[in-house]
Amino acid sequence: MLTSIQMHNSPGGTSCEAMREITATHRSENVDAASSVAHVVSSRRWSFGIGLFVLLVVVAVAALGVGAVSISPGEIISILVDSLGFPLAGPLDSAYQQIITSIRFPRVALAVLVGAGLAISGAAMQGLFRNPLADPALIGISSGAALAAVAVIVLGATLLSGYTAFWGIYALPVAAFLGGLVTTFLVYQFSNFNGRTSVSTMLLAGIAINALTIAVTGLLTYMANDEQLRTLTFWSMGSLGGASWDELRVAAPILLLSIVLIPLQASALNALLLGESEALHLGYNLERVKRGLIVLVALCVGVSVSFTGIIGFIGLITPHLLRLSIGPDHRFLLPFSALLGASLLLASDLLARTFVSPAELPIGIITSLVGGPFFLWLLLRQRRRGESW
Amino acid sequence: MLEMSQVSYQVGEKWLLDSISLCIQPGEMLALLGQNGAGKSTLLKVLSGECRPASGAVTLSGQTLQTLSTNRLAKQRAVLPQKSRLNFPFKVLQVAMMGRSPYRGERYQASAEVVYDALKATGTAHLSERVFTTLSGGEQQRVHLARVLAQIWSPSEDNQARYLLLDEPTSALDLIHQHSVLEVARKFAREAHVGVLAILHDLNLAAYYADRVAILRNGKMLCQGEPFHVLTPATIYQAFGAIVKVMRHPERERSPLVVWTDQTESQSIKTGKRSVSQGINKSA
Repeated sequence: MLTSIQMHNSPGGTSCEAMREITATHRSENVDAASSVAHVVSSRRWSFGIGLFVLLVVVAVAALGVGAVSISPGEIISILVDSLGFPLAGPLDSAYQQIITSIRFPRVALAVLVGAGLAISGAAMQGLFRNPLADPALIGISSGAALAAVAVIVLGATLLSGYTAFWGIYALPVAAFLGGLVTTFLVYQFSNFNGRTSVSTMLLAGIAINALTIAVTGLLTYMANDEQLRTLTFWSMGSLGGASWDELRVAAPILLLSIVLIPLQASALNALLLGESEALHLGYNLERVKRGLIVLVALCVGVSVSFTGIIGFIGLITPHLLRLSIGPDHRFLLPFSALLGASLLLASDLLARTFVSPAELPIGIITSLVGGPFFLWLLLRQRRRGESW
Repeated sequence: MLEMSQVSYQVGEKWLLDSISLCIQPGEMLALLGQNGAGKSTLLKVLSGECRPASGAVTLSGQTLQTLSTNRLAKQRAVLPQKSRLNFPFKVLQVAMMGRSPYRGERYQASAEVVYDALKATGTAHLSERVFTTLSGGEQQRVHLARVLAQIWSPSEDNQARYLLLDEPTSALDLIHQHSVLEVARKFAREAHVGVLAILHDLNLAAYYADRVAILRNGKMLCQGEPFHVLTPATIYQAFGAIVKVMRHPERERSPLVVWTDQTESQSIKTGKRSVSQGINKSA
């Protein structure tokens, strides 16, 4: 019997030989092959990661230098080192120093953190929903957060005065966070049935919740006065123009927390891609993983939206760009998404404030103008390869 | 010993499992048979700890499953689900490596060795650098088998018994691979002293490879025992409503050979006086 199997099977597969080699004598060779392959792969990935980091530094220095007043990279480095408490030789231009430390640096730092946060959230959502189309904006988290923020802007002095009095300057970020959390929870509940996540239900629920929040936001816009209207426009299109040290002090710890904690779930997310039962059988405490990720993503997206408004497509596109080159392994995808997302948002912001200088374009317009066509290209590419989502 | 005693499981008003008792010993291979909807997959879900029984208990070496941590359980039993959908372009090696996730923190080398052995055992080592989503259904199924084999390839530190639960492991496979997969499973049971439960649809595969066979019918245990005793025309008629002849395997004394016969022929069945058409209607 065995011989006949081997005969039939000899050209391509070697299952029968392999069966005999369960107790193989060539173990060490296999191990060497396995570990050297793994070694080459991971060292290639790490140099890719270093490349992304260098890109981020270059874009950040460019963003600090470009503007109404150009400042050279050398001067930027001197100013940064000086403000860290290590004065370099030679006098520094105090106007330049002022521009860098109080205007451009907070803006660049916020762009880095928000970009990293949105991208890593997108990657985590795509893993959690086992669907490459999931994105905080697409399934309504951003608009939920924006709705809560808009409600505080418009009703803060009247209906919600108790709330705003209690939270003070944190009223907006807290509301946006809660809005994000509630919508995430709703979408997740809608798409989960009998322990299975239905992808189409998730997207449809996202569309419905998006429509609902847009309608209520519209209602609030209708009620708003002129001053509130200007602020509202900012929410719907996104801008990093309001960045200052005060905002950074609130946003940075929360965003950093998410950016640091989300990658800890990388291996659980890898297992989740196999399916919920499979991840459970592999020994992951799924309910804890899911709840943890949902809270972190809602935190991240809620805070981002509360300080910069809705910025679409960063969370959707960044993980996709990376999967094209490093594959879907979340141990690399999550941290690299943070790096690339930060660079992308920084570059978009650079465009937003130089394109029609001295005026500024809302950054959400830039990311959507670039992101929309890219997304369509992804769909076409997927269709050409005969793959479907 | 992985044991379920008097286990019932209910969804809504319907009892999917009705006071079922079953045990798997390390080193043996048990085939679970039954019609579509008889409760086989539900039994496997309860046995793996994915679903909690409404009454009765599932114990692993005397301990109730729910008292064991998911990680501890993962080191002692692996489950191959009926269908796994993986949409993301992982390499085959990465998919098989996921089987080692319960051992996170252990040395990488030991895991790489195990994963390669498991891939070789299932005849998929030559695919290890391929992208999983580009494989055929049968190849994907064998890679998943390699993943679950790798999960319990060697005993954990305290040398606890290990169990492998396979839900239709041969469903997407051709003739040769059906046999090679079950051969691997049986060899794994014998040599690594692992208890294997496999849900199968092909009675002859069950007869050829299983040490024991259990047959479910409408959520109840119809019978269990050695293939030679259990796979008789009478029980097969009761379980599936099909009229078959059982012969002796030409090469194997203890393996019955189940042969399909003309179902329209009005035959008298040992256990029932019902006509064949009634039997088939009942099963439908």
